Amino acid sequence: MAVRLAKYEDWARACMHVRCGFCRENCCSYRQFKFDSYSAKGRLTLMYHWLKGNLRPDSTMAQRVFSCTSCGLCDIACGYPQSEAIQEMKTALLEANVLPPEDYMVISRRTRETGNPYAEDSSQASNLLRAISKSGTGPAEFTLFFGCTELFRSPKQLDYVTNILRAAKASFYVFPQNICCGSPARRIGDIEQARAQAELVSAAFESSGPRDIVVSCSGCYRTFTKDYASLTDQAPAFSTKHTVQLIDTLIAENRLVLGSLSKRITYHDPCHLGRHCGVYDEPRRILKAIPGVELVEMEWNRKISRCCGAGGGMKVGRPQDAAEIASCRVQEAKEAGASVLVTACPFCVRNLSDGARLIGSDIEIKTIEFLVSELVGIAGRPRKK
Amino acid sequence: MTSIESVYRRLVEIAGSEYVSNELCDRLAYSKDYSIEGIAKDYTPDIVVKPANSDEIVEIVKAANEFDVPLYTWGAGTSMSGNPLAVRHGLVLDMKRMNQILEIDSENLTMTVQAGTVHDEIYRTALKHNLFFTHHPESSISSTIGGALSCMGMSIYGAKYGYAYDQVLGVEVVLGTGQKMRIGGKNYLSLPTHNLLNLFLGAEGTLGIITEVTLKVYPLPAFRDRVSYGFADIRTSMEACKRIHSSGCWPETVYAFDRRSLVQYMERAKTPIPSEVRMAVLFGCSGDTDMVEKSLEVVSRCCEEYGGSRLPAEVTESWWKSVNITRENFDQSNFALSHTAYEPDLIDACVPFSRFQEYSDFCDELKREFGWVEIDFGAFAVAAPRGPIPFCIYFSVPIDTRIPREVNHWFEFKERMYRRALELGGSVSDANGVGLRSAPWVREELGPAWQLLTGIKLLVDPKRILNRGNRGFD
Repeated sequence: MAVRLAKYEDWARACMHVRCGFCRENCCSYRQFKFDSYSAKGRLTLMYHWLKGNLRPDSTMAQRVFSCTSCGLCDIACGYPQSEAIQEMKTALLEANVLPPEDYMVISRRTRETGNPYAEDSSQASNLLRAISKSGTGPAEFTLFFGCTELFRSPKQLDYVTNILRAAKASFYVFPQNICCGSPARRIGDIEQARAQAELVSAAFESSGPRDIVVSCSGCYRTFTKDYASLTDQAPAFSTKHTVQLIDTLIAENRLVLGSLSKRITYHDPCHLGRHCGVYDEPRRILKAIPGVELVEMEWNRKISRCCGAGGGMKVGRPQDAAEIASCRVQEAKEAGASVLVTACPFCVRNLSDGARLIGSDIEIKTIEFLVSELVGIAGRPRKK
Repeated sequence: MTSIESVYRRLVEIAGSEYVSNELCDRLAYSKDYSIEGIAKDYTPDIVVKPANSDEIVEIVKAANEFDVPLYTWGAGTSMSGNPLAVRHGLVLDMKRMNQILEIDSENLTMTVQAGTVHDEIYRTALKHNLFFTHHPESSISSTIGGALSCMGMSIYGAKYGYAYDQVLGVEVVLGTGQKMRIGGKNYLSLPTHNLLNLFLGAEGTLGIITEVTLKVYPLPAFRDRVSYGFADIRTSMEACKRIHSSGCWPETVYAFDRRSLVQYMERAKTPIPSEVRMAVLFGCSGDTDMVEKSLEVVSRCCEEYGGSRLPAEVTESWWKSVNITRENFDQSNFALSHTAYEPDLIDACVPFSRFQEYSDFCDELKREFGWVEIDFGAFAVAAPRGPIPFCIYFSVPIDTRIPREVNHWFEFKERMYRRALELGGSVSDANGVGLRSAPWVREELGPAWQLLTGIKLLVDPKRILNRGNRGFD
């Protein structure tokens, strides 16, 4: 613990002293769980007292720390990477054998045992992936990598993405295996398993040769682009794009022509894609490129976008709380006057949909790939799980 | 069963188990505010309770009386004087759950809000109704209106509109006896006799817990602009401000920082400051464009009459952004950019206007004696309320709290600064709260009036459960 967290001691002390609290009011965990100990500054205070020996870590403390969704809004307010320090606290707690509530640990255990956090049959996913026919006749421009949430919980996302690319006459190759990128394990502090997944993915990419990867899951995107260098101790030998970046380029190159849609739409920035990786403009350009669409912003957008509540293991560890947090975001979308809430992460879509159900909202919630897929004129082929 | 265990059970009955905690990891988050006092001793409360409404607070206060457990009201914990700290442990009453805007009366220019409402929420809600709520501290993203009213609270628009407590028309308050009452109302003159509001405003919760407040709001100015001027010293900058007053010009913002403070506030934006500037003043005006332009023209003329030099626009804008913290720019706040090698605290002792320069020179001299010269923390003079002349001065001091000797030095330094202020005919100031920081000199300064104050305290809080041990009350 001392080695892992020692570098944060001065920050923790300074944070505890200054107590500006800019990280607090917008922290979805604090808003849900009420006490200051659930905000970033609260957790940094706990870290300080832990380092000083005033506080012995226990399951109560673990609840406060693991309830962080890793959204990073605190970092924007603070100027210090508070979320990184909290992430390290999670790992330090696991190393000290102080575990979060059992439901969080399911993520880690399942990934360890079955290769994915949903404990689903990876071979079925591989069959699904191999069934997708290659597009184009020339060499593939890039390789599509689909993550666990898409494969096991939102398989239609595969059709949405491939339909768009076929409409643009893009040639692509589909990575034929399900290997978890390691993001879920990483976000709950299981760095050992995250490293194992990163090694597996990197080795598989190396052996099959893809260099230009495209993903439509923001969790995979962040993990490939921001975490793999430290998880594998070397810069990845491949580059990664999110589908919003690719679609934006295809539209700019006139390779995609979108049908019109007369709707008022708002865009939810997934924390992993927006705040963590700075991808804000591409999805908005796509929406603005749709004739008839009126793009309206929620009050909290771009770098100060509020978290949907799914991250950091919350969706699995505390599903009711995750849905309640999501319902606040849905409410914000309604207040912006939107009838459609679009985002660029299948995991956000799942949680936002649960949030909408919770408050009986009729707002349409979909991935941006779903929306675009409907407008390129090729109907999605329904798949059964 | 101890009294703490008994009161814990009662609090769970009153507020529900979800909103009461005796867990150490929750209590530690309420053990420290933005003061060196808070790091010098252990002020961890025994229990934290987060009430939903004033009826629950009434019951909580009654329980505290019954079990003789002290109670400390907590807003956002951004206070700089140790005033919400649980000096004798007991209960912390976290007010942030009471965060509802209850009424906006555009026609009569009032808003009624619960005391735990964050400033930014009040400001934003007023804007949606084309109204302007004027109290806007640097902490407005996180601090609560109840906290500001309890600690006096000044802000960037104070030169025109006054302190936080100048915005109050009425309050609902729960006394230390558990009695709930409303003082004042929605009318601009709602006080039929003595101004009882002032018993509770700036009192840091020692006489009663503010639970709800009716505030003044104003028609929204259409335009806002600013200018800043550098001066050779405090004296000439203050002369320029007096000249601006006599010109009839009425800026809403008048912030005067010495060079060290200005450097500190430019830290995040890294904006260079002209080398000759020793003292600088930021002036802001609002209203119709022609009025603002004319006002800033007059401000500029007055400053130049006293040798002021106009600071580059980028300094003015960086300065404004560093103090005008909003939802759009809170990532630019200098307040949030904490320092890892030292922590700032304040000397909040004001001296007569004519002694500002002398007191500031004394402070610099004393800092040299204590070896605190390398770090840029200096003097602030702020105009509030009602006019462009800054009558309030205070000083920021950096302390390396990792070194216990330095914490002791802080208390020695503070003693000498407050003593000097009283010698100069000055006073303990509550520009940034009184709390533990300034309390040691309150009794001496008040003289026989201290007996009057303790008599009032006993009347409204006979068991002295409210903020026991803080602000000079035993």
